[in-house]
Order: sequence, then structure tokens, then C-alpha cells
Amino acid sequence: MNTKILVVDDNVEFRTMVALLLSTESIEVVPAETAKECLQIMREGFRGLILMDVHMPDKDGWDIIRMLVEEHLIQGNLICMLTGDLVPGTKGEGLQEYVFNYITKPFNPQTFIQTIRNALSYLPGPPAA
Amino acid sequence: MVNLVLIGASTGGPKVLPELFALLPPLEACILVVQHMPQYINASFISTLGKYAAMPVVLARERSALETRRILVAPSGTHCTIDSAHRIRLTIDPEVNYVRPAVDVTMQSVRRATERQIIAGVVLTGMGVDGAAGLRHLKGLGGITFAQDQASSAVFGMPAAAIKMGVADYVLNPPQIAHELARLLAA
Repeated sequence: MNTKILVVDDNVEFRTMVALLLSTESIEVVPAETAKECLQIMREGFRGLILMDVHMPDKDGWDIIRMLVEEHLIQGNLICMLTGDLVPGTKGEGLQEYVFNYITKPFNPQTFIQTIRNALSYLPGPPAA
Repeated sequence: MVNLVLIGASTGGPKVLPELFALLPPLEACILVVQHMPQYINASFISTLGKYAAMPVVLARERSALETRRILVAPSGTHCTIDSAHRIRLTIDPEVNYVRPAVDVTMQSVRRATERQIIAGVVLTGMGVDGAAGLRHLKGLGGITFAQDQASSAVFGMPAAAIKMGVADYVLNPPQIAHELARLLAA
């Protein structure tokens, strides 16, 4: 399996830990530290599973998802929130369709891997030629 | 007359639904699933659920018949209702609870066919409050209502809203919900 997952989180230690964990599943992490970096990676064509933190320095995760929708970059992606917030709050309203799952930190590594595998199983395949 | 099980889910639903369906035997009922999801995963959603379910899983279409031992999934982008002839109707009316399809719209379209018809409503994990008003409607028809418990919910918003409204007969985890549905409706 040659799978890449975009991890949007401003905490480098956390991104490194997630990358290490996912490497055991042969999954490569594409890191993004800010909303700006995330949008750049998406504009360059990344499509797949996105793990999205909520609290980041420039924009929060909910704002980033709205920007992806507005820029028509959401198509073909699945988003799992990966956050310390135990509940989404009202900023997630209207984004239900796009937020596939919600993982809270800290997490159980085994459950996390199962959740990632589950999400990857729903990713749409490449468009027919 | 077909017994009905209406299941509403949002964030976290695609992880829970396979777990629930893997434990469900064929039911003497038509199951209608409303999952908030983007249109581009409708096909993979049907395909993934089909690997776990003991009943065929198909995308609901305009005028699809409600057939027993069958799982229909509401397509993204349209509300999915049941008409007086017990057929699916798809409409592009405005979003309800920020979503379309809305669980509330589907559940509130249900009319009891006969006194003996069994109707069950299930609200699973998800952001927001969609499904609570729908469960209230089903309960008013004499239906049996379930809300997923907090411990097993990725997001407790939707089940919590139903519980707060006092319209959930049972608050259970997915294996327990499967067990109760099987007890009520196993073929």
C-alpha cells in the first residue's frame, strides 16, 4: 500500500508521533503546519484522507474546511478531525457532510489505526479513464 | 405492509454502521439509512456497507420500493422521504439542520401503514441535532426509538439531542442496538 495522509497540525511533535504510528501501516504523512500550508498542498493536487486539528495559529480547522469547500478543493477528500476538543462546538455546524469522523487527543493507537483504515476504505477511487 | 427501520448518522457514522450491520441478521424490515456524506463517497459507502451487511445494500432512487430484507441508503444532495404508496421520493427542498438529506425530514415523512407494522428509529453519532425531531415523530406513531450511547459515539451531538428531548426509548451502543433490532425483527 502506498498511501499518503495529510496531517494538518501545528504541533511538530504530534505530527512526528502520528507519522511514526502510520509508518507501521506503510502510510506516509504529508505534514502541514498552518492553514496556508494546507491550502497550498491541496491546490497542488493532494487528494485523500486529511487529519485536521482545530486550533492552529492562522486559521482553525473548521475555517480551513470552509475554505476548501469554497475553493472547490474538497472533492475526493475525506476529513477526520483530530483534536483535543472533546466536542466540536457550533463552528462545525454546516460541515457535517464533510467531517467523516472525529478523533480526540489523546487516543488509543490501536483504535486510531482502525479508524484510519476504516476511513481509507471509503476513499473514492481515481476517476474512470 | 413493510416494517421500517430508519437509521440516521453523521460524523462517525461510516465507522459505526459497518459494526452495526455486521451483527444484524436479515430483518423482516426495510432499513433506510440517512448518512450525512459528500456525494463522491456514495458508491464506496454502499460498497463498504455491502461487505458487512447480511442484506443487499442499494442507493435509494426516486420511487424505489420499500422491500423487506433490504437496506436503502439516501443519496447525498436530496431529501429522502416516503410517500403514501410506500415508495421513496427524492426532493431538493432547502437544507434542514444544515444538511440534505436530513434525518428529520426522512423520519417525519413516515406514516403508519397498519397497526401491526413495526417502526423503529435509530440516531447514531453525529454533530448537530438532526434526528431528534424525527425520533419524536416516530415515537408518536408508536415506533421504537434508539439513540447511540455517549461512550461509543465519536460525536454525541445528535444522540444527545434526542435523549434531551426525551424521545429515545433506548440508549445503547451499536452491538446492543443490533441485538435489539434482531430481537424485534429477525427474519
